[in-house]
Amino acid sequence: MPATESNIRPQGDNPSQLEFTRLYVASQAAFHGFLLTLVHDRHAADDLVQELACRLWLKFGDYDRSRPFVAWGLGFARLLAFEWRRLQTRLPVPLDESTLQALAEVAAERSMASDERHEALGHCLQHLTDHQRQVLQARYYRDQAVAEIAWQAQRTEMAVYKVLKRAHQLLLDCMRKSLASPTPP
Amino acid sequence: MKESSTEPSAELDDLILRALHGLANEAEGAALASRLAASRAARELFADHAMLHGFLATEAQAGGFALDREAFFAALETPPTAPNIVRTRRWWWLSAAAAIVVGLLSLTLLLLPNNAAAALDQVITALDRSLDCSYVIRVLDPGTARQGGNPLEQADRGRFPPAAFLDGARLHLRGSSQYVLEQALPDGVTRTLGSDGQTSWSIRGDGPVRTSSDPYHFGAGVLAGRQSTPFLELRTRLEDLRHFYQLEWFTPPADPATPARLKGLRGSRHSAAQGGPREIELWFDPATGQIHRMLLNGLPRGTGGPASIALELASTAPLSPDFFHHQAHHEPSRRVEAETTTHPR
Repeated sequence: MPATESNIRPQGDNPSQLEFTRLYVASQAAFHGFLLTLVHDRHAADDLVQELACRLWLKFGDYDRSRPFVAWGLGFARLLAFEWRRLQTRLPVPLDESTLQALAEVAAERSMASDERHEALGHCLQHLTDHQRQVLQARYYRDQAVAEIAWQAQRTEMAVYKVLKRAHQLLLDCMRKSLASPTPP
Repeated sequence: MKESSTEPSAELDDLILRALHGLANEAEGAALASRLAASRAARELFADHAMLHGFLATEAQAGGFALDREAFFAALETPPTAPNIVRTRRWWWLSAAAAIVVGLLSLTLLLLPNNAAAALDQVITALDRSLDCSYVIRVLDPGTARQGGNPLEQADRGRFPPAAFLDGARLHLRGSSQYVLEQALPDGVTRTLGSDGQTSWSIRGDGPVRTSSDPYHFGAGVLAGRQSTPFLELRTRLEDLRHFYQLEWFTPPADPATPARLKGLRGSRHSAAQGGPREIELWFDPATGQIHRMLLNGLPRGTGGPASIALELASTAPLSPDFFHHQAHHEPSRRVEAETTTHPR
C-alpha cells in the first residue's frame, strides 16, 4: 500500500480501515482473553494480539459482515495461538492437541460474552480492599513479578500470592453473581 | 478424550493461578495439564481465570486499581518511597508516625518532580506495544548555515540532504524498531525511507529501491552524517533520557484538540560529550504513555540540519500490516539495489 495521507487519516477517506478499526477495538479484549487462555503468558498474548490485528486486516476483504466480527477473528486467533505454542521449546502447561482444541472451544464461548464479563468486572472492582488494589496495581500495572512485589514489600512470595489469589477469587465470584442476576451485586 | 465430572476444587484454582502468575513448577504444570485434559469444568474454570487475568491487565492500564484516579498520575510525581504495600506489623508505630508526617507534607511532596523515571518507564512500555503512531515533523529552528563543512561528506548527502527537508515530513512508527519517514522534496517527488526492523530501505520518486540489512542504515544519516537520528531510534533515545539526562516535570499548555490531560517531562543532557540533543521534551498522555509531542532542542548538527524540531502526533490509526516493508511503497517491478553507502539521496 503506498504511503499516502489516507493511510493514516483516522476518518473519512478510508471507510474500510475505519470500519476495521472500530470492529477490532471493540473486540480486542475478547481476543486478548482468548489468546491468554491458550498461551498462558500475558506478554505473549499482548504480542499475539498485535499480530492478530495484522492478519485480520490482511483478510478483512474476505470478512462476511453477516457474521459477528469476534467469531470471525477467533478463528485466526486460534491458529495464531497454536502456531505460537508449536514454536515454544518449553511450555509451563504442556497440553496435547485435543486438550488444546477443547480449551479453545471453551475460551471461544467465554470470549463471545467478553463484553458482559468485562462490564460485570467493572462493578466488582469496588469490592476490592485497598491492599488488594495496591498488589494488583504492582502486578498488573507495573508488571512486577510476584517475587519482586514480595521483595519490595518485605513479605514472602506466598503472602503476596495469597493476596492476588483472594482478589481473583473475590472478583470471579462477584462476576458470576453479577452475570447471573440483573442487578450488580 | 475421557471426560471427568469432577467438580473444580480450590486446589485447581490454586494450580491455575500459579500457572497464570508464572509460579507453577514443572510438576504443577503437568498436573494442571492433566486436569484440563480430563474435565470440561476444569477448562471452563481455567478460561474464567485467564479471561479475568486479561481483564485485570487492561483495567490496570486504565488506572482501575488506583485508589483515586485523579491521584493516579499525580502519584508518579511524588518522590520514590518505600512501596505502598509494605506492611510490617513489627513497625506499625513507625508506620503510623510516618503516615502523620506524610500527611502533613503531602501537598508539598506532590509538587516535587522526583519520580520521572517511573513515567518514562510508562512511555517506553507504550512504545514497545507496537501500536502505530504517525507524527508530523516541524522544524522549530533551522539553525545557522554551516560554512566549511566536509565537502566530501556534503557531496555524499546529495542535492537534497534529508535534514534540509524535514519540515512537514511525516514519520510513522510501529513499536520501537519500525519506522517510515516521508519527505516531500523541492523537485516534486517524495523520498520515503524506512525500516521493518530487519531491513532499512530508501526510495526517491520513481528511482530504484535501496535496501540494507542494517535496520538503521538509511535512518542514521537523516540528521547528521555520523550521528544517530533521535526520532528514529526513539527507544534508544528514551533509554538515554533515563541515564544521561536530568529529568524534570513541566506542565504543557492545555490543547483543546487533545482531550487527554498531557504531562510533560523535560530532559537536559548532563554533558555535551554524551552526544544527542541538548534537551528533549516529551508531552505524553499519562493514561496510556502515548507521546503526543516530542521536542528535540540542540540537535547534533554535523554537516547541518535543524537545531530544533518537534514531532506532533497526527494519528494513531492502524496502518496496513505491511506498511513498514518497502514493497508497500512501490510497484512490484521496481528495481531493488542492496546499498552500501551511508546516506539516502
